Amino acid sequence: MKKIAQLISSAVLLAGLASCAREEAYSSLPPQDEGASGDAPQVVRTAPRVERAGDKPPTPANATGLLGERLVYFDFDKAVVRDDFLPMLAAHAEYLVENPDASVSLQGHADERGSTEYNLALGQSRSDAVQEYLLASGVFADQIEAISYGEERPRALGSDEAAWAENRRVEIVYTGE
Amino acid sequence: MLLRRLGILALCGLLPLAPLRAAVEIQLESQGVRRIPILIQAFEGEQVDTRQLSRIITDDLDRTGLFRAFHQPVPTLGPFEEPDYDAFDPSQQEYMLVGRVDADGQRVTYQLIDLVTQRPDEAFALAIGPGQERLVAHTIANWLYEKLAGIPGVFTSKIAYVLRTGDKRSATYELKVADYDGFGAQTLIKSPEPIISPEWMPDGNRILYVSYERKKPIVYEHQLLTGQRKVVASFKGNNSSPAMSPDRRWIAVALSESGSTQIHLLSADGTRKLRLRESAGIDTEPVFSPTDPNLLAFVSDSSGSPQIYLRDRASGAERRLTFGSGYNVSPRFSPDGGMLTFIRRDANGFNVHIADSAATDGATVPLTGIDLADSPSFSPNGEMLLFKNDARPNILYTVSINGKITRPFTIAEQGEIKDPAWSPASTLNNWY
Repeated sequence: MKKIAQLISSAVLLAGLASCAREEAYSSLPPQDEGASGDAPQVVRTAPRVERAGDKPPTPANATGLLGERLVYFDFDKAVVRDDFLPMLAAHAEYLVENPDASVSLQGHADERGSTEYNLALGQSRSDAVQEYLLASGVFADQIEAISYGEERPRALGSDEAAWAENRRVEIVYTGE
Repeated sequence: MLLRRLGILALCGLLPLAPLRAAVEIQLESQGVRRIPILIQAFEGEQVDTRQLSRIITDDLDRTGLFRAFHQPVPTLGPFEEPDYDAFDPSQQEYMLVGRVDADGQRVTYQLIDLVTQRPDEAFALAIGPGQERLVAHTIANWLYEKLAGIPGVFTSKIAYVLRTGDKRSATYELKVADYDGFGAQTLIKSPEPIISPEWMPDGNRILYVSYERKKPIVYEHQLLTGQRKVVASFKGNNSSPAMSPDRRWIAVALSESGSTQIHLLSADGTRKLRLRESAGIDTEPVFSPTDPNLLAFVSDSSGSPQIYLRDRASGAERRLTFGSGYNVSPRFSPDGGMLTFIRRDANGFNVHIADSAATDGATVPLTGIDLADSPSFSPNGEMLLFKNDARPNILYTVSINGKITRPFTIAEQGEIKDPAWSPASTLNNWY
């Protein structure tokens, strides 16, 4: 209790690194995206989409096995897809390739620890990582929407390792499901 | 402040390479801090519920870490009665506050007595409007604090936060503003979709925040007096983490339109958009120094883990503030720009830390031992911090910089309080 913490002992200046360069200004604001589904990447299809008016998009509803699994879990502060989830993602990629009318929303999440904003970005990195895998497997970009809810939508309530592990995830949600 | 100024000059390349030594000492243990002992007598005629003036004043002073405030629920002397000075030990009680509320409840008269010099101060009176008991008590506490500590009190300031209610399947999110101690909460916005990151604008009359009401995060500005709101950032991808510069010319935001989350600056008039820097990973949580519109702190994981950096926007010079921990997030400047608080993962878990904003040696100081701390922000006078704990849904904490006095307080809400943010000094005291 008697100690006085010394916050700063010295300050070594970083002169020499300073460039004093100015940032470039963008010419002006691009058109603002006010739409509700503005995340859809603008990609031109290379294969014709089969239009079936009135039909719901296909989904692997009630699928069993790998296609029935919809959750990809992550380690703390990591956005790397673990090897144990690759077979499951391969099954979803195969389904999406075989069903070009099917589409998925990849919803990234983080556990509650740390900052709301960093977790929002981290959840996005996670859904982006899953999206990367699906794209690399031949899924069309316009079949995928990668978004993040950060720490706002926990699957498990509670502040323990089990709950946190359950919440560090990407949920694969098929359109129409 | 000198150190800080020198640091910024150095960032602009205006100083030579010679290292400077500076000794900035912050007294962080209560041993080094004298807490002024003061006895608050219950006021004659006051309410004895949450409107109890003497109790509110005691709690206000107690949280600051500068006072040792004792509440005397049963007055030991009548108001304005000459005290028996010999009955008090001046080493235990240097001051005493006494008061009386008129029978109609519409006026309070109060008086501070110096028990060391044995001299009563002059008595003052304040009108109590309907429902204004807490505001009047906080006003008296402000007066006492400034009189005895020499710096403005913060007891009539506000906090903004998000309240999440309901279960995980159907939650409701409300953006709220309350007194600094959580009383008198009012809802600004209610939504079934997440609301995050309320951030006060420098004028204290507007709040920036992020809402998912259009199924993706978009930044809005909310005017407290009129209830008007407008979209500030709605680009492709995520729009989040808003903060306004002290000269009110720029709003910093984190955008994911280019892929990874990156920090951009939008001119307040909506005509310009600059990217602050480029990194391959996550850059987010930009905040401006309140005293330097060119200086920003932010979080980047470009080193492989989230660390706090400072960047001088004019020169592009950048400095990493945190080392030695793989997780540092949520930087916020003190009102004078001299310090930063943030959440750092240390031996005690996710802990509130502070550091000198000019530090180059990575030195940081933990303010509490409370794990799962989140969302720290400075009080308007820089003497205290507000933060939350992820494991305790409706509890907020204050901690004093000086002496590390930590005080939890319960917010009367059913649900989880998220992202609390303390208002700047300039906020209207009673905008409602």
